[in-house]
Amino acid sequence: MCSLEVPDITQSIIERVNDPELTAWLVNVGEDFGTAYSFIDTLEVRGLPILLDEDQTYYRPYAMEVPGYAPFPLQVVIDRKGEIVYLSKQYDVDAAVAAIEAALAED
Amino acid sequence: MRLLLLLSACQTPCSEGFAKADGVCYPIASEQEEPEEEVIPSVLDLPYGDGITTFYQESITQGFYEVMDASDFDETQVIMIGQGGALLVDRDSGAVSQAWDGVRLLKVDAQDGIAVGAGSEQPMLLPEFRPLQAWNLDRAEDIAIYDDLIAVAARTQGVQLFNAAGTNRLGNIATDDAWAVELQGTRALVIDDRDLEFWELSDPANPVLVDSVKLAGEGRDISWVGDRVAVAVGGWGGQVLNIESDTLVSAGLAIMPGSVLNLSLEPNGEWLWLASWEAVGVAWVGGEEPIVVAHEPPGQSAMAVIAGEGRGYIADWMTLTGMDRTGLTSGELHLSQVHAGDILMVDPRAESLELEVTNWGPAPLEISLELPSGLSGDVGPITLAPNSSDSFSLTGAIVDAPGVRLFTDDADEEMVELDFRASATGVGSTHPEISLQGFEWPDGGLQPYNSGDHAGEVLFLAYWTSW
Repeated sequence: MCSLEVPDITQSIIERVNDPELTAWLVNVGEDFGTAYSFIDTLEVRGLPILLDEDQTYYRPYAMEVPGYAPFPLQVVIDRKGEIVYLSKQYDVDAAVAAIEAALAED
Repeated sequence: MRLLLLLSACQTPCSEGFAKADGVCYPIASEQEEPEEEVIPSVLDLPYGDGITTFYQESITQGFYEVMDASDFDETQVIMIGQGGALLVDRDSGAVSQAWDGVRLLKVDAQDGIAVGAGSEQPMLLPEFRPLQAWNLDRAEDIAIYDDLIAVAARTQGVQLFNAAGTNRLGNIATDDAWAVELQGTRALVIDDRDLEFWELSDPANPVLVDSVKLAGEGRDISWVGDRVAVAVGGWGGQVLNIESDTLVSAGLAIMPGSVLNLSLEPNGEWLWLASWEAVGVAWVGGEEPIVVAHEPPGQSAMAVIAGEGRGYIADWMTLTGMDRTGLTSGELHLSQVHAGDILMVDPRAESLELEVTNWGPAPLEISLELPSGLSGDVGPITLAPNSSDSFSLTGAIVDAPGVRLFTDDADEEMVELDFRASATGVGSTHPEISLQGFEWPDGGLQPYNSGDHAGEVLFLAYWTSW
């Protein structure tokens, strides 16, 4: 799942939205720098910061609370006020893009 | 011990210290420290029906057996295999009649008391653990035996065909990425990447493709009885297909909680057992579409299941579990939004709520609600036909509404008490401020990232892992 989708996120979501007011991060869950880097290195994922949530501080609450969601890649859209406006149930490019664009359209 | 790992069906190699089986990375176990037990709510907590009876649950006492796969062995026994070795298990009692230690095999198939195993070690003939000859493969994901033929699914190295004695290589089905194989007569079913392929092998040196169909997800296991086929797909369920005049025709999906990596049709081909780590499920597949009828929590982790008549024998990690479905008659309540016991996480801003109820059972289900003060709306009763959904509309103080009672005639869920709580991580809640180390490729230099530095922007997060 991830080897296909991680590089696709850049192209299908971020470049499609192409808005300077969008910040996008790829957050690795539960792995160390070496593991995350070698994976990204293999796929040559350029242009997006890769964050390391090694202790699952941010990921775990979703895994605990959100039922029926594909565990990875989990996508979250947070609006300008810091509220969650989108959580992926599965990898769905159109739904993610729509959520981002709706959030960008709000003041 | 219960290993709670987040699942994914990525095809990439596992991290160091992990090994892959059925597309899932799990810790290379025996000498390693076990992961700390995490309290993660699982489907075990869900108010599903459990029309399945567990008739034995035996801990594996000898050795360090983590059983990963199961197959019919003979009339009275099934064979289970995994880290640690192989076990012959009595169908009625779960008693181990024979154990072979020290071989790491992850997949097994058998006929008339002869078994074949495959995995991280060389594919072998059991019980003498004799490696197949003429062998030169990196890795075998699955193995099958039928009459005089053995087939080994070996990812990019094709499906290798051997005689049943394992002494001669007879041929090869070329594949992009072969994950599973089943044999019947001179025919083979092969999961090749996202395709299910149907091959004629009467001349194993020259396999002929009969038909091929795109699966609904990444296939990981095949069960095949007569003209009916079930494939574990995408981790989330079973895809049922029928063979009609040499053509594979999809009959629909049996969707299950958890990650379904293994499944098994009963000998009559009308009932399907599905194993996910969190639940064992039974689906009726004798009709037009599959209907998931019941779930039952396994003893530990249902790695695999082999179905007998009315029964499922579960390779349950370090437990052997026997289950029986023949008592099933009722409808089955399924509440899609409910998790963490009977707590329903809702949008903290919500002033109304649609409580969705689904009947996953084979019989109609009558459902009614009893509401606490402060909530109003439909209370039913409503009658749900098998395999259908409806919803109750509620308004009022949703978040602070404990003790909504839901009554059903589901035999084992006559009353479910729901507690609505504001979600801390759902849509509508505030995301905690993020402060993590990170890097960009190819530079790789670590630096801090803080969401506070991006106030007023829209933030998109994609959580991922390398496995």
